[in-house]
Amino acid sequence: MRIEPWVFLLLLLPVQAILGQPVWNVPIGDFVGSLDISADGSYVVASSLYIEAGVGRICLFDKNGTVVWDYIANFPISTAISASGKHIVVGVRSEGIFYLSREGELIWSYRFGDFYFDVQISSDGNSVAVSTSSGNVYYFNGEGKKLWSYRFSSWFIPISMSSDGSLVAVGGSYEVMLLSRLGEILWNSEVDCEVQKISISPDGTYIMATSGNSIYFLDSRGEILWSSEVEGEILSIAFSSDGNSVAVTSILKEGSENKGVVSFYNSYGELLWSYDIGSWAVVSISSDDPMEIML
Amino acid sequence: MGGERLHVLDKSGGLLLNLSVGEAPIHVISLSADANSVVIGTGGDLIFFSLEEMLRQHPPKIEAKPTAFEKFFASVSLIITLSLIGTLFLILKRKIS
Repeated sequence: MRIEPWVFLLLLLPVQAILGQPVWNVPIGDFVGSLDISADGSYVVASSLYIEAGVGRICLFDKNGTVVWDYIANFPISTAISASGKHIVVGVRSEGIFYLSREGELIWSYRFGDFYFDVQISSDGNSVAVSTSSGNVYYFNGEGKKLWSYRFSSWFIPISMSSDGSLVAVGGSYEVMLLSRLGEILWNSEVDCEVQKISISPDGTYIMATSGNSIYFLDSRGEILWSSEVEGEILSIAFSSDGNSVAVTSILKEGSENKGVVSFYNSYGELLWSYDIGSWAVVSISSDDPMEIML
Repeated sequence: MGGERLHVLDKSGGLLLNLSVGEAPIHVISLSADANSVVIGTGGDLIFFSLEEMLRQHPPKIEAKPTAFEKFFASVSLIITLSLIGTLFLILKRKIS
């Protein structure tokens, strides 16, 4: 049976449902911090924390739940896996980033000493972008060579990398920037907010930046195509693979009640539909072209 | 209470699945690009689902859209039913008076 290709997922507090039987369920610590899955679902990388012991763990699983490798790490914060699952990048607090092979070999690492990192990896694993809590953005190639870095602010700023690694969108204070693989600032557009979340479409055609309840949708030349507001606070955003649709989850607190909604827009800013989810939610969208995952 | 759930929707907003996935809150999620697999983090557990398998076990109930003929037939049926009710009402009214 072929699944509807644009299927996307929401986590939420529920109403009536069937009991989902997982393929596997593995305890990996007190708290799962981050995770990522390869394009065809063959590999899953996850980081976790053991709170009392004050240590973390990074694991790679195959689709059967078998541990491929398992490392103890100081405080892993963020993880990302390439589309094929051949390369994994992990950000560890106060240490830096670690670039590993599927077999668990450490290929290269880079020390930062910052408190927090967001790591992104291109589909082919040949590009890595890192945003740190001191407001720096770094860009590495697959051999660990630092191609460029910029200091954008004194605090953490959100970044998002296109699928091929050729573009990096950066959300700053009242601005959105787009940088090339070579570190050129292609453009810088003003927005009316401190950007809290940013996402670039896989092909780099569109960029969405959000803050609070505001959405800004820009094209690849930095023009704001549309802006909108949702009720409540935006929790997560995700592009479809062709960039022509975006999903936004938000939550509105009304007294002791939480009203969660996922809103689905097209690239013209038209609200195609919304779905009431009752509580907070995060969203993930699949590819709309199954052939893409074979790359 | 009641656990957390995983909702699967298609691009038109149609709900395909609504899964109960346990008691602990779900805080991280990743869906494979081919939409066949999803992994979630709930508390300290890492849980992997095969959406392909879940949809095979629990196929979504999709209501077929009525054809033009079915719509016409439904309209005619409604008109006939209302006419019959009206006629019966008039007959009853005459008999009472």
